[in-house]
Amino acid sequence: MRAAGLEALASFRFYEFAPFAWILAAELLVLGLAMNLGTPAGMATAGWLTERIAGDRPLHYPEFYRFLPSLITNVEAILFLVAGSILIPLAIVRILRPIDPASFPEGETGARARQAVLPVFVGALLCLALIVGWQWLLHLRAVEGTIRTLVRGFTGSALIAVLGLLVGYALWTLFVFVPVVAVQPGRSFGSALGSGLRVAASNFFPTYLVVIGLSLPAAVVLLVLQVMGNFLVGQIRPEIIGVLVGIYVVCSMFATFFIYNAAARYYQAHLEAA
Amino acid sequence: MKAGPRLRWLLVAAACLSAGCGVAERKSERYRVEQTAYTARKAERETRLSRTRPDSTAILRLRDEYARVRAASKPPYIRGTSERSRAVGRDVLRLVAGAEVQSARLAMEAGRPDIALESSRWLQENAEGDTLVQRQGDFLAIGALRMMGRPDEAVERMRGMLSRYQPIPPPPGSSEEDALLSVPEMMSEVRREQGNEAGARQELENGATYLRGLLSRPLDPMLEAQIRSRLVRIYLAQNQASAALEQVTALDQIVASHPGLEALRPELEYSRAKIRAMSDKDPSAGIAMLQRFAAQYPKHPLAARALLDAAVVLEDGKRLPEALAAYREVAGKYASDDELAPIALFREAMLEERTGDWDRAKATLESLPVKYPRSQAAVEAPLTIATRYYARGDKDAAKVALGRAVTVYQTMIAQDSTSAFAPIIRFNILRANLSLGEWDKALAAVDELALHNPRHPFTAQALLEGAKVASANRQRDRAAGYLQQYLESFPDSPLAAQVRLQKNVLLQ
Repeated sequence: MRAAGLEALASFRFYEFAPFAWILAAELLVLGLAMNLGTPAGMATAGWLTERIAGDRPLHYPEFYRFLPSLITNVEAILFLVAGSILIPLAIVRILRPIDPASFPEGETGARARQAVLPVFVGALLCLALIVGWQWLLHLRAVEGTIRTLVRGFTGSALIAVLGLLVGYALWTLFVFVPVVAVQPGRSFGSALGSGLRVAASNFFPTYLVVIGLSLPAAVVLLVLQVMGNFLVGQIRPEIIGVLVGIYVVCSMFATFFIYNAAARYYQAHLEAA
Repeated sequence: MKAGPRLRWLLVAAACLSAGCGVAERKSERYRVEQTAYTARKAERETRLSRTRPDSTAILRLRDEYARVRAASKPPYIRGTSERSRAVGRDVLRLVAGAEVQSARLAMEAGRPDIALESSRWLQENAEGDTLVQRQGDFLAIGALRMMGRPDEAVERMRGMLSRYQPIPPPPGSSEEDALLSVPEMMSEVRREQGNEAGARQELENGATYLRGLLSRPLDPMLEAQIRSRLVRIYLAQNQASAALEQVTALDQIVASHPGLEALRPELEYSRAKIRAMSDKDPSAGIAMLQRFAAQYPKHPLAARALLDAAVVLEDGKRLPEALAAYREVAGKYASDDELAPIALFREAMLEERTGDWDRAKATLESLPVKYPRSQAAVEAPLTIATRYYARGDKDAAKVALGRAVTVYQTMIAQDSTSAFAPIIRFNILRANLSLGEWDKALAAVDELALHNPRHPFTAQALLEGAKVASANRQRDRAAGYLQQYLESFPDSPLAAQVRLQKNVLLQ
């Protein structure tokens, strides 16, 4: 898996990344609008989204910047869930075609991506539900209170954030192979989802390490946002949050692309070996 | 025919979008205003955190930051057809008004009450029927007028407020008092600052009538309690023990029937103690109650006042060592209370002198202008030292003390030339120079008063004194000039006819 990860990094091609670039562009557009909430266009779009998620309360300056990371992560989740269900399989087909042209002939790109939509969508939905459930559990007063009693102050906050991230990435790791399996020729909904989860489970630790390794830059930025967000808004400059969110979005998108890229290469190599 | 439903859907979508956009436009405007106000607050916070205290130029620059908020959104603020749009507009109006109040506060801090008065006018013109903004405008005007040495106009403004606005009960769960209820006492305070004790008493009487009038109709229990509490304070200030007791009893009943008002309990205890101390033939029980209150609630806003009241009653009862100890306790324990600590310190000095410790009394008096430069006691202290030396028969020391007093007063004026006490300080400089026979300096002090506080009652007296001194020093034109200024500034004075006559004599 490590070799697949390195190979993915070394053989970056924009053509393969392009489907992810669309999601990235959409996220950056929302971020740009959110950073311009003082304009009617920003308020009618990013402001409207914010109001749907959390009401009027965050629509004030500088409080909005405390909410911005949540807004973007919500938008990111929806984009990966809906647009990602077609764009991720499309990117994987483009990655795999040069490796195994016989299994991924040029004329079948659209059909393969369409074939993968449902399992990828359901897989992403399950993954999202598990991550949301985990975050809810972690932030239950009893759980968070216990952690904060054991480890006080800044270290306690950092520990909760790190724990949230590590378990979140572990849950995602379980679903990383679903799109890769779903684009394989002749895969049904059930076998794509089942096989995807099985492959991930049998290669969990190496995959998890690659996921963590590639997500590290994005995770660090997210950690800073989670632990120091209030400080940055109240004491330094609220707009810094926007810049950090921008960095996070870019890093996270490239990390996601490289993770799926590495998973696809690893799975294909295993298939060939078998 | 096929385009019909499609067009209808398009029109519905466009209508929904444009309706949403109307509110979005207002919300984006509110956001811009918040952003500008935040930038101003941040700039002020950073300036205040810097090592050097900002001078008036720096403060005015900070004021400009707040003034920018006004430019971030244009009136009328409450506009649009939908209720949501109008509600956001009201938010914008209040945000802009809040920033304008901050800008006026800084203008006054920089010694420019004229700018604050302009802000007040602007708020009145753009209040759009919002009484909260109108009140802010009125309070600003009052502060600015007081600072500009126009106390009569300030009092009239306050009187207007009492007739225009109704006091508002605090929001549920809060005990915050409507500032309108403090206006009657504020009016009395302004009169006292003018040196008009009779006027101060009259304003207190008017205040009591106003508050009693409010009680004549059904009120929210919290508001009623606050009104009665104000009334108790006024009656106590007027030494009307029985009327105060009547209100305390009524207040007691309200507090007993509304557990949410339990926070008023300590104030009731204080009032009862003060009434006992005022009305009992032997005030010992009242004094003990006041001291017990201060010990029981040392952090209550009335704790220092309770101790001071106890000290005053002890002094009246000639129990000087105990009174001295009580004054010292106030000055020591509540040194940060700028209102009561200087009074306690001044009384402490007086008792130190009466108990034979003049050196300590002098040191205490000398410390007042340093510790509390913005207090009546600080204004009185330097001249008091000289007066006490005269009373002790030490004329040389008295003269030295007068010279020192002038220096101290000049320093105080240099530190804050627009404070409410500035006219009294300038008048004291005149008194000191007259006592020292420094005629030129005395006339310069008259000129200063006439220039900076042309309508202050002390200026009237100073102009007459100045005319006498100038005339005695063969400066008849200058003397006539002072009298002319007196006639222009105080045309309704009962002395006007006599002054006109004197002026004519000087000009012949």
